[in-house]
Amino acid sequence: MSTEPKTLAKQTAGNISRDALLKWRLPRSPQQRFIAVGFLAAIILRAFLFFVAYHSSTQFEKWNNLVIHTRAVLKSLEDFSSAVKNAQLAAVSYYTNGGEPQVQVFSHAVSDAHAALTRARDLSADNSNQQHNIDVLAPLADQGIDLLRRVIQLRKDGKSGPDALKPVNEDSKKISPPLVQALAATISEENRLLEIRTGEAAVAARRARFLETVGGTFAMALLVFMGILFLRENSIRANAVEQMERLNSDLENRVAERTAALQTAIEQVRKENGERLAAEAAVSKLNTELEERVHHRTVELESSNKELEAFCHSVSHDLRAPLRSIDGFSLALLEDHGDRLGDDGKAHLQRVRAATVRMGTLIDDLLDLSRITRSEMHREQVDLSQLAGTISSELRGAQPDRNVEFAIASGLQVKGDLRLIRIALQNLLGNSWKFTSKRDHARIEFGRAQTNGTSSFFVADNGAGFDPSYAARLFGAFQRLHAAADFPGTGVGLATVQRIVHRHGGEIWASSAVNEGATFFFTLEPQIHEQETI
Amino acid sequence: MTDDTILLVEDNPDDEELTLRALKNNSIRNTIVVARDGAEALDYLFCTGSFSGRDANELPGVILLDLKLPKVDGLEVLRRLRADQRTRLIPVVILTSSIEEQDRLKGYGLGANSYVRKPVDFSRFSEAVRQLGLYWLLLNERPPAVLARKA
Repeated sequence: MSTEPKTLAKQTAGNISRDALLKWRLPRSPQQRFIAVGFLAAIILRAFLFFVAYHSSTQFEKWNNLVIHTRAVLKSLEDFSSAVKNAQLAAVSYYTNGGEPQVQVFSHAVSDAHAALTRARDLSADNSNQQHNIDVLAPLADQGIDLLRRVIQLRKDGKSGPDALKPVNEDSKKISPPLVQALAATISEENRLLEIRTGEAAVAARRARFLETVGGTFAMALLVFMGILFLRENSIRANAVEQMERLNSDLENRVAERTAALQTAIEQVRKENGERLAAEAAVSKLNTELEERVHHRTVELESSNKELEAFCHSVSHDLRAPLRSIDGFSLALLEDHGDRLGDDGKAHLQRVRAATVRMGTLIDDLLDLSRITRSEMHREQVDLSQLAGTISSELRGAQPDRNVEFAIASGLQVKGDLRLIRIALQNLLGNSWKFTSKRDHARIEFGRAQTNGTSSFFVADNGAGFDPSYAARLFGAFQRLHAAADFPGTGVGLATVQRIVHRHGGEIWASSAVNEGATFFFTLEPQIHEQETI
Repeated sequence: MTDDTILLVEDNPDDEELTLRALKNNSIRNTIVVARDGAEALDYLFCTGSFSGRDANELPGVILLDLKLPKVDGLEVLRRLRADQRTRLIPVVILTSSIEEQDRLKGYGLGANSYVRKPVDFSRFSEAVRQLGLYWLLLNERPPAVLARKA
């Protein structure tokens, strides 16, 4: 678990550098693009310079070759000139001093002169001006050489002295100037060429030097600049890579740290889980115990409920049977032996009968009360207004001679057990009916009230009311606040109502004053803020 | 014995006496057979035990059945006579002190024809007995005897 993230990080780094390499092919940033363009410019410039320099050096070489050529021509002309002079010196020396070697020197000089002139002619074959000059020069040279041969011939003929040379000198004076002039023209022509060609060569050399110096410098500067940029970019990149690596390393460290923290957290959770599981097991055990206890209690309750049912069964059956016997035989006594009892005896027996009937009613009420506690609840929507209306009609039907005004609010609905609610309303409205029996204008009201933020129903009357100091006894079974002679009853009615209200999770309370009527408030569903009192 | 016979199944002698008195007071002169527990009632109906010599074809016109009985209780008596071809159509009136829901449910469930609670007040009890006699013995047409036996 701890090695995995590192491997992942390395793979990621590898991917990044591969991406970076790919990016190098197509520079993205302006910086990189600038460097690429700069390098390209430097290379193009360099190539251009190379081309121009090559061209210049070729030019220079060409001109230089031409200069060398011209110098060769000039050399030939000088050779020719010196050969002619040598021939002249040899001829004059032979004429003056004699000696065969001078004739030979002369011959050599003449052939040298011819050779030099021929070389000059060959070398300047490309130059028509020079050919022309040489064409002029060559016959003049031949004529001059002929004059020298005549001088040699004069000596051979035995002549000497300046006088013998006079005709030759005369001719020489005629030939010499044009010869010198032709030679000078030729040399001058060649010198002119030399000057032009030297200049051209110099220009080419200067141009090459200039291009090499300035262009080369510029290209070098460009290269250096780009190099610096590249190095800087590279350095930035290297920094970035280094930073990235550092970040990566940081990240790896942090991943490792987080992984360790996670591991710790997992351990913690695992530990806590273990604790929680233990707690859950404990809770589960407690629950099981609780369930067992609940089950046990339920069984106990069921059994006590069964006992209660058996008790009620036997009460309803066994207690009533003797009562029936008492009443039955009392009546039999009255019927069969009434004449022997006298009026007092008959009255006593009537009281026995009344008491037994009353006890029968008490037993019935008691059974009703227990039945209300035991019976199953069937909750449904109950229209209280309609129910109250029906009960009021029943009450009127039972005592049509009474003048009672009913005020029943409409649309009162509640969710509850219809049968039980009917019993409760029958008791409450029946009570009101009963306790207003001494009023000329009895008024009974049923509606909804708001007291202390609680919405409740109420049954109010303007009847006898009760002493509020006895209010605590109001809902106890067989508790009566009025004499049976004034208002008959067993004292079970309100106990029954309270049980019904409690079975619905509601509350019941009353307010009254003697002779000022009574109001019974009740709710039929749990009130959140009243739950403590329930 | 004829179809007019009333079978009273009652273990309480006081109630028996009072019932008979009520019948007499109301001028119901029919033959009344009293069985004092469930077993005796069954013996009478199926001609067994002390009633083995009785003609099984002679069945009561109505049975007044108490529920709380020694030996075999009223509901069991009802169940058995409803299970038998011979006795299954005999009108049965449960006459008891109990008005427990369970008793009423079981009684009707097992095929009782009426369920009457014995009032404590004898005047009212007497009136109830009178009405029962009048209704079941005079007003009500009993199932045909032949059919009852063959069905």
